Amino acid sequence: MLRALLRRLVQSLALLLVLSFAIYGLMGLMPGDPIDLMIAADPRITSADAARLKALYGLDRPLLERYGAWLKAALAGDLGYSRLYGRPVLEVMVPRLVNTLWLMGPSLVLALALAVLGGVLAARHPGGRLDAALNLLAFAAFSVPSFWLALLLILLFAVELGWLPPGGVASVGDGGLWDRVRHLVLPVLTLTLLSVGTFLRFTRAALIEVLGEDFMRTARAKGCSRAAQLWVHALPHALLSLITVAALHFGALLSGALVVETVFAYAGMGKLIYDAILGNDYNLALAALMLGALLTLCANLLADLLYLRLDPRIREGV
Amino acid sequence: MAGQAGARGLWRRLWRHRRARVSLGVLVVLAAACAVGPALARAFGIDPAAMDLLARLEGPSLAHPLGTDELGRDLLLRLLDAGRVSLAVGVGGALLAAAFGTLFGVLAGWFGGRLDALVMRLTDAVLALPLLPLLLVLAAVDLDKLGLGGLAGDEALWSALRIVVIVALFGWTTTARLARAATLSVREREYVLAARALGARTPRILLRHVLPNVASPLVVAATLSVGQVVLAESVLSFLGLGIQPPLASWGTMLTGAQERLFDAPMLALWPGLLIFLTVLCFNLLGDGLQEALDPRGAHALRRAQ
Repeated sequence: MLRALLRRLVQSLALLLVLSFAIYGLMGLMPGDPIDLMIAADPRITSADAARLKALYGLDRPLLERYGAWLKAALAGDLGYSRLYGRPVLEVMVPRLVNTLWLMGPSLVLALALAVLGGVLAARHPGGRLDAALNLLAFAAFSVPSFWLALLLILLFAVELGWLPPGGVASVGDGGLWDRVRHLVLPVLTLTLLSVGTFLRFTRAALIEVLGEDFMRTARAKGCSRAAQLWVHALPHALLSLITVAALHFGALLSGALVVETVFAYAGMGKLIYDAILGNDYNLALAALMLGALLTLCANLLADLLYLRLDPRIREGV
Repeated sequence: MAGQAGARGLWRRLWRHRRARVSLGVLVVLAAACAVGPALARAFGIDPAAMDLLARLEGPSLAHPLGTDELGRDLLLRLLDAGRVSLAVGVGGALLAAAFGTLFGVLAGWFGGRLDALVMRLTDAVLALPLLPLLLVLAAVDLDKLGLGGLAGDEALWSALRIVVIVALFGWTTTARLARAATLSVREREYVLAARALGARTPRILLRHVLPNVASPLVVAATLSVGQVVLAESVLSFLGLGIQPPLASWGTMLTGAQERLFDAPMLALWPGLLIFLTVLCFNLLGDGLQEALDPRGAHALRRAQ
C-alpha cells in the first residue's frame, strides 16, 4: 500500500511537470507579446529586469529551452514579476491564496455537514417522500449555474433587502473580523450549494450500500434503533468514502471559487487567475494555474493518506 | 439485449419514471420553441436582433411578453435565439465527447497494454485537475498563433465550434472509463469468442458485438454530460471567453446583466432560469435512463431497507 502511495506521488509529480509544460506552451499562444506588454505597462521595470525577462522569455529561442529556463527559476523560487500588479508573483499570490482558503474552508465544512445530515435523512426511508424531495434538491443544487445563483443572491440580499454587501473582501476603511465575515456570507453560501448536491447523493448511496451488509443485519437483529443503525454503525463507513470524495472534489471547488470570486469581486486565487489570463499577465497566470494544480494534486494525495489512516481494514494490513 | 423489444421495454420503463417523463417533455418543448420561434418571427418580419432604442428596458407588454433588453430588443425572442446556440453547443459538445470517449475506451479495453495504461492515466489526470482555469486558458488561445487564423470565415461560428471542441477535450473521460469497463466485461463472453473463432475481423467484432453491448451506460453518460456542457459553455460565455457576438447564448446574455442588476433584474433572471431548467432536465433524464436501463438497481435499493 505504501508502494502504491509512492507511485501516486511520482505520478502526480510527472503530471505536474507535463501540465506545466502544456500551460507554458499555451501561454505563448495567447494574444500579445509578453515582453513588450511588460515594458510598456510598468515603468519601474529597469533595463536589467527587461534583459532578465528577455532571457527568461527569449522568444527567439526554442520552446523547450525557454521552458527549461522558467522551470529552473521557478524551482529556485523565482516566479518572475506580475505585469498587472508590478510586484513579484509570489508576493501577489500569497494573500490571494489566504482569501481563497477563507472562502473554500468554511464552504467545504458547511457542505459536508449539510450533506451528512441530508444523506442520513434520505437514507432513513429510501424511496420515501423525504428521500425523493432531498434527491430533487440535490439535483437542483448541482444543476444551477453558479454565477446565476450568485447574481440572484446579490439581488435578494444586497439589492432588495440590503442585509449584506454585494461583493468585495472587506469595506474600505473597515477590515475587522465582523466586516470580513459579512462579506464572506454570500460567496460561501454559493460555493456550498455547488458542492452539497454531489456530497449528499454520495452520502446517501454509501449509506444505503452499507445498510445491506451483514454487520448491519446483526445490528438490526440485536434491536438497534434505526437512528442508531444509521448514525453509529453505517455513518462511519459512509464518512470514510465521503472524505475521499471531498478531497477529490478540490479541483471542482477551485473551479467554483473562480466563478464565485469573479461575480463577487472577491480578491482570491480564482479571480487572480481570471484577471491574469484576461490581462495578459503571463508570469502570474502560469504560476497561479500551477499553484492551483499543485494544491489539487496535494488534496488528492491527502485523500489517499486519509483513507489509509482511517480505514482499520487497510491500516491493519500494512 | 439491444433489439427492438429491449428498446420498447426501456422506453416503457423510462416513461413510468415521472421525473424523466416531465424532463423529456420540458426539453422537447424548449428545443422546439428555440428552433421554431426565431424562424417564425423572421417569417413575420420581426428580427430577434432588431434594436429599438426608444423602447429600452421596458417591462412586459403585449408586443414584448418578457419586456425588452438594454438595446430595446425583444427579450423572449432573444432568449429563444440564444437557446439555439446553447442547446446546439451542449448537444454537440456532449456527442463529440461521447464519441472520443467511446473510441478511446473501447480500444483501451479491447487491446489493453500500453494504450490502456495511457488512456487511464489521461483520465486520472483530467479527473484530478481544476478544469475551469484550464478551459479558460484554452479559450483564450489566439487561433492566429496556432496557424488556424486563415480558416476563419465566420468568426462567431468558430467561437461556437471552438467551445464544442474545448469542452469535448475534457469531457471524454467519463465515457472512456465506462466504455473501457464495459468492453473488458464483454471481451471474454462466449458470443465474442464465437465471432472470433468464426474468423471475424477485429473492427467487425468491435462494431457488431462489443459496441451494442456497451451502449447503454454510454447513453446515460452522454445524457448527463449534455447538462455539464451547457453549464461549462454558459460559464465560459459569462466570463467573456465563450460564444462571441453577433452570436448569443444564454451565458452571454448574462454577461452584462450584473451591472444592470439594480435597474433591470429581469435581464439576469430569465437566461439563468433557462440554463438551470435545461441542465436540471438533462440530469433528471439521465438519472431516469440509468434506472430504466438497470432495473436491478431499484430492487437492490428496496432490499436494503
